[in-house]
Amino acid sequence: MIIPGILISIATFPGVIIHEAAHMFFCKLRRVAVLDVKFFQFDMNTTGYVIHTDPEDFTSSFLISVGPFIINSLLCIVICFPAVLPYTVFDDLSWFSMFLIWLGVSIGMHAFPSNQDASELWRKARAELKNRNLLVILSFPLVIIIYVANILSVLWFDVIYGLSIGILLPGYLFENFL
Amino acid sequence: MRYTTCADCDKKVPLNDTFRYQERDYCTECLRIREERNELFDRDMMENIDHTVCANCGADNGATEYDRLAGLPVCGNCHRFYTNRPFPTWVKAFVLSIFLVGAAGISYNFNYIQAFIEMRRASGNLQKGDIESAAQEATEAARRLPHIQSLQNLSAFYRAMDHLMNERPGKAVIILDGLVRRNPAEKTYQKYLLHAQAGQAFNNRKYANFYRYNKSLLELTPDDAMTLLGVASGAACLYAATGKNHYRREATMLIRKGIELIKPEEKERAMQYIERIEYRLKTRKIITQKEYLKLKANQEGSI
Repeated sequence: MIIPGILISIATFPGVIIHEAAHMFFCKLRRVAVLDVKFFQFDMNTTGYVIHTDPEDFTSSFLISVGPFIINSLLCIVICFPAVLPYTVFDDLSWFSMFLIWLGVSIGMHAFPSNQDASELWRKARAELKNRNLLVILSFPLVIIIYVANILSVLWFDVIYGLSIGILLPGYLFENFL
Repeated sequence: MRYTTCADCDKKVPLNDTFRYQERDYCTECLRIREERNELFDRDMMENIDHTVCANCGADNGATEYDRLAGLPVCGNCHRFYTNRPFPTWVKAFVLSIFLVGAAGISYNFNYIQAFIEMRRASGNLQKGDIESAAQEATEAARRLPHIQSLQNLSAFYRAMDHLMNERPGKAVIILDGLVRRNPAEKTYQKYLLHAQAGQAFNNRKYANFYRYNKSLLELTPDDAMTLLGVASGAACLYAATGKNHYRREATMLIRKGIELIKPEEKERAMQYIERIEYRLKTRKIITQKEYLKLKANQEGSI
């Protein structure tokens, strides 16, 4: 089922805001100038953006591009974890826990950087290859994953990812390891 | 601030208010007139940038050029702003609220987290054979979440096991009876209730009941060696009490069957049980496991 992206973004707006905030956070951390930022807007094409200057080093480029993947994923796990436990282990689900799961999954759904971030990372990684930076080696498969994830978003891959790390992963850990 | 002269009107205008077209500078008004007259033949025109004026706030640096940021001149204040752009207040509040909600989630579900840890500890203690500690942990977990029936059941079951293992079958019967009533489909509770009832009947010297409960248990677990030996034990008790030989024959037959089904891990316990049953059949004396072990120890001591 194809649902307009704007509707999905509205329904999961915390994820959009955290995604852009993650980009900006790493820009500030790496002293990269942020020229313009929109944390959320009602636009069919772009619900949020961060425009920044070109980072001087590859590590900054990597962190800024991949920042949402790190922060959104971590927040999703941390918020969902205590909410999933009552349901997975004790078969008990309160309204507040459901709200937490919605919040966590919304944030997790927007973990993947955009194709623009991916192409920028690819360009920088190719230029940095001669310096044998470890992050560069990590970047190439990561860029491919980002492209594939964005393509598969029409098949709800972003939702599947959010649900997987927010609900399935904690459930699996509770049952088998914790 | 820098100035330039418009090639059409000859006025001296700020550089920022002009465009470069065919290697000449034009003010916006003259450019507009040319466009209306269709006199712009080449669309290759560029907006002039005065690098002595801040592109963001318009601060005039006189004749000195500002540093560039993304190709545009910015004053020191604006440069600092862009490089260390603050998050809007509402975004800060939003992110803070996310963290607060996350913390509230942990706090709200803290009892579940603690109960989960306690149940894991109880399970670990059970595997180590420390049923008393397991029962205590399970009871504590159940106390935290009184509305979770499965947890109440598990806690009660652990307590019943503790009573059974410590030879208090009467107390185990009370708990297990309640569990069976609340969970009639759960075979495990039925099985242990019968164990407990058999133990209670033996303690109360109601050997017919002891025999009957073991037979009921055999219907639930027909291929279990220890259950078969339990029935043999019951038959041996009835033989010891009544002297009727068919109980003796039944006990002997069940011992033979039980031996075939003994698993390696239960062999020692099963053989000890068989020894007691055979002692009962031989002497027609019904004694407890403790009494039998004491007797055996005395016999070995005197050899």
